[in-house]
Amino acid sequence: MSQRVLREYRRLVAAGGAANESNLHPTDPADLTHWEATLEGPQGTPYEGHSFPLRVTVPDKYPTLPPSVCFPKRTMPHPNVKWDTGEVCLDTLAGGWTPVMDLQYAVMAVRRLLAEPNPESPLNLELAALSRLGDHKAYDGIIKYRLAHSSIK
Amino acid sequence: MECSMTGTHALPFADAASIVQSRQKDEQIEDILIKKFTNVLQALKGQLFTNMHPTGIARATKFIYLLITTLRGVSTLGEEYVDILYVNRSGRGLPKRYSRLLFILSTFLGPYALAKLTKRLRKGDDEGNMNLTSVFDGMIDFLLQFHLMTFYVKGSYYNVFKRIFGLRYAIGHKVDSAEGKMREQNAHTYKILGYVVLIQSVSKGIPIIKELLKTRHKSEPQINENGVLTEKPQTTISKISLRDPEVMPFISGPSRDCTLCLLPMTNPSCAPCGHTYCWDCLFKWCNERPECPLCRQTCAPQQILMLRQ
Repeated sequence: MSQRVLREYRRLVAAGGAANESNLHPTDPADLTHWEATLEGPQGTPYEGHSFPLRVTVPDKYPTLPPSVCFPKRTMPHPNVKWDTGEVCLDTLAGGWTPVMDLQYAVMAVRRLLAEPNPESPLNLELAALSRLGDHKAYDGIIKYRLAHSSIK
Repeated sequence: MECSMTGTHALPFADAASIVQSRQKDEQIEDILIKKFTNVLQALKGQLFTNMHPTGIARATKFIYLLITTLRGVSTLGEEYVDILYVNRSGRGLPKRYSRLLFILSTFLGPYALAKLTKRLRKGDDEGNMNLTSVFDGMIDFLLQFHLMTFYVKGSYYNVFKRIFGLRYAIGHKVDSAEGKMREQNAHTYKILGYVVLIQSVSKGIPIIKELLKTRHKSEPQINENGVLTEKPQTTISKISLRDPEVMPFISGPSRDCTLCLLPMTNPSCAPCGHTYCWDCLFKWCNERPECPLCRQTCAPQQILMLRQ
């Protein structure tokens, strides 16, 4: 396990809660490989008023390899999130990763993705197609419907 | 020349020039034999076999060549070419059959033994005995050079194993005064060559001896009375740590931390773009992807520069 994660944890604790909007924290402070964060739905998007738990997993070769992030399955209707698994497609956490980025940066990148979906690399074809067609009414409607029927409020 | 040492019934010892010439001729013959032998093996065991064991085939060929010439007491083609033959150390008799056999066996097995010994020493090196192999190699090198130098100056033994087992060459015919004069002149040229080799080996040997003394000096204080290493062996390049504010004071405040490991930099090293990280951190990443982690400018591992004070 990389010492880097431990140092990130110490910095996060030292900076205090205000600097950690998404409440990024290890699931178990004794094991820094699994982390959790809570993303607030950005204002002006269909996600507004909802909050979403995000799981972050740190690989052994971190920070050479990026952390992997995942929503709980069937909770996040989003063009770049696979509905059935919660898998996130984000360039920052794949080919665009460099080791100067940290876990907090990764979580912030996912939060930005909620406000700015990228329909060019979709994991949810239905939503991506609606977004590309410009049918915002249907797009927002499906998201709101899914969120209303999701177990997470 | 040592001709004066020889008595009435003894043949004069051969000079360096003819010994070298006979050796060259023999090498030519051996090359031809190796080629023929390889061809035979290729027909019998296939191309793959001959490609896999070129040194083994060469050694076996030389071994057989010596068995059917020197062991039987017959001259090799090279020896016949310059008309020299083996005599014992005193020059008054032929060398014993067993010493010839030992000579042949040792020329055959010597390189194997040396390779094995070096391998074992190298294993010891991995366990922390730094420099032992290089010192050993240096010593062998030095001894061989010393041997060569002695040969050039005295014209005695060209091969180390011939020196050990006392196989000396003598000229196989009566030498008249004109030939003797020519041989003496040749010997003189070889003597000069010998002194050149001496100077070379001494200049090469001094640093090796120095190193040997240094390693002994270094290893003594590290081992306590229980025979346990108390210090790590010193590496040749000392670490530069920016933890110490005295080190590289021109790097200020937060810039002293490596953005990859988030610690004060160890061996600060920069990419071609000028961004600085720990050597280890940057090198590890550039092996993964050859670009600067901050600005993504190309940075191949060999382009990383370590900052020195």
